[in-house]
Amino acid sequence: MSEPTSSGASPHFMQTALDNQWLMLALGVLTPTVIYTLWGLWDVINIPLAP
Amino acid sequence: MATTTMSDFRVDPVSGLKIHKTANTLVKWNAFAAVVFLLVGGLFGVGVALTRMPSVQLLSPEWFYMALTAHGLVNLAVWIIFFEMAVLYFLGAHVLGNRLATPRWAWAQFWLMLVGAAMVAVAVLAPLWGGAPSSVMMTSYPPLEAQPHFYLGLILFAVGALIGCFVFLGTLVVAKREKTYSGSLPLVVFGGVTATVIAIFTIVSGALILIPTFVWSLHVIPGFTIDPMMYRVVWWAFGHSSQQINVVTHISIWYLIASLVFGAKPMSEKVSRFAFLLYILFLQLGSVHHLLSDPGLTSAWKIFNTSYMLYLAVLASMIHGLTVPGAIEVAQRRKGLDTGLFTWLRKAPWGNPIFSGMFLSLVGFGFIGGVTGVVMSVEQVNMIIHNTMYLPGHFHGTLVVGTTMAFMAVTYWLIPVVFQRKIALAGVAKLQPYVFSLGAWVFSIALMGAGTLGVQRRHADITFAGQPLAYEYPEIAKGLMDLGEIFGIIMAVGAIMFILVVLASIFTGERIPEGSAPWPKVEDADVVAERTGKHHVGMWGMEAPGTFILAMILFVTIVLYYFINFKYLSTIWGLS
Repeated sequence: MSEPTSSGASPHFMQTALDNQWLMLALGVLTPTVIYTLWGLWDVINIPLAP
Repeated sequence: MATTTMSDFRVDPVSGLKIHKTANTLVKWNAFAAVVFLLVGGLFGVGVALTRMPSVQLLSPEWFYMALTAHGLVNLAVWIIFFEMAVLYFLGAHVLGNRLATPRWAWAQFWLMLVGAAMVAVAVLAPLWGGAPSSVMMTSYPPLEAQPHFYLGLILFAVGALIGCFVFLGTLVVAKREKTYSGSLPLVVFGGVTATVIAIFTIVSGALILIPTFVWSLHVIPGFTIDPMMYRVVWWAFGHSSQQINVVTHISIWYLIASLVFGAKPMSEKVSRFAFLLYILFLQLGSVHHLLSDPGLTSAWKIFNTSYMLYLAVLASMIHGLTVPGAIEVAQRRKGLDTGLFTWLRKAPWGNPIFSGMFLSLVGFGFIGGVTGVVMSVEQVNMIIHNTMYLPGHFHGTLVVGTTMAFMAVTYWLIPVVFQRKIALAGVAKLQPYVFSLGAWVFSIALMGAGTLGVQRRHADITFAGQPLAYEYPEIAKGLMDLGEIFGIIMAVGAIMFILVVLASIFTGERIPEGSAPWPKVEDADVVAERTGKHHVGMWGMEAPGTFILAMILFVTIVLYYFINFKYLSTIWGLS
């Protein structure tokens, strides 16, 4: 977690998110896995077989 | 928990960084291996270039495909990923004044990558000593089949790189726990995190497809085959994303060099971090532009991945392309070069290869690799150039003009810091970025010209002489191929100049002893502005008007290039 800023206020949630490399890893792996890989494979699986 | 003492560190007089000695040894070995592989891959590249010249055609087809496979794998993967390992350890340990987490695993990374690369090399070069070929080219599409140790070598190499990524992430955990930095990670290290995230997706995708392909090549399971379409979808998540790791790493290097040479700070660190987040989410989707002409895959999938989502990654690239030169401009103006539109650029240190290399990388990547990459990702336009020489032209515009040039530029800074040697052959180093970039720029543009005229890639003889389907390309296409490959040789000369400087510096350069006096530092632009009271710079209400003009030129170039390509498409694919 991000440390409090010099003024003592909690950091912005975006800063907290960006400082968490494990969250970045999860987002960076999940997003293309779903949008590119799984969807692409789904397209290939659903190609109808030639009669 | 490992215990470290102050004797495990040294303070580098060149950079002022606290250097962990074990981490430094690993940075050295990874960087050295990278440069050796650059030389090896480059030599095969010269063979490819001299064969593709219609007027020379140096190698026989068998040797050509072997050389092309070796050149692609060594220069697209081995040189670059070894260098990236060096950069990640440098960022995680040296930039944060930190120790490297789990040095033993880091050595496992190095040896696995080295053994993996050696196995692939043995498989690819086997015809030289009468062995069975593995000339399947970098993509190794089934049903083309290589020897099993070709795939196993790639898997070991990828596992090594994956270990390196987790050593880097672990090193960040150590830095956080031991409080070697406060607040958020420095932007350049966050760029390293972005590259690592993309690398992990890339390597896992590679494993998902290469492990079954390895099993298939063993022929131990009767009836087990690899579906070529599934292979292509998953392989490109590995093959293209691996090049996106390079893009992120070289952009991080641009930020680093802007800070080192000018004392520049990003125009808006928040915006730059957000741009890196866009990369984390969307940059890998660029893989689909290799599949835009594949039947079976739906247009929804193709267009969503390119037009809808990839453009968010393009937005990120445009942000970086604006903020890096913008930061340099603001720093130069704050230091007194605040007249006219481009005085800050004209009076930049063009004789310093760290800067000249970085700026040539930035401009070349934007105008050559970037613009063409965006336009070719349009499904309709892609049909003009798919599987033509345009592709090698484009990716040399990103990986050579952009990534390799940036890596070379930062090496001129890393040699004194990491190897503790002054740069030898300084005159050669000064010229090198210009020679290399001249060769690489013209090479890329000429090949893209030939590709636009339909010249096929992946063929030893573009004329298909003596073949049943011989095709006569226009003379200008052959001329462009000759021109491109001549400049390819100039690019190779630039690469050899770089390798000479690196080897001469490492082995004969004047030693920088530990504990020697600190080198003069480039003053932080903000500190100078504070001292001189020059807080408001620029003109027309903009802090970086020159960069704004450059960005507009890039934007207009993209728009014009779109129109030119759609106009060309309409002439070769009539609708009525």
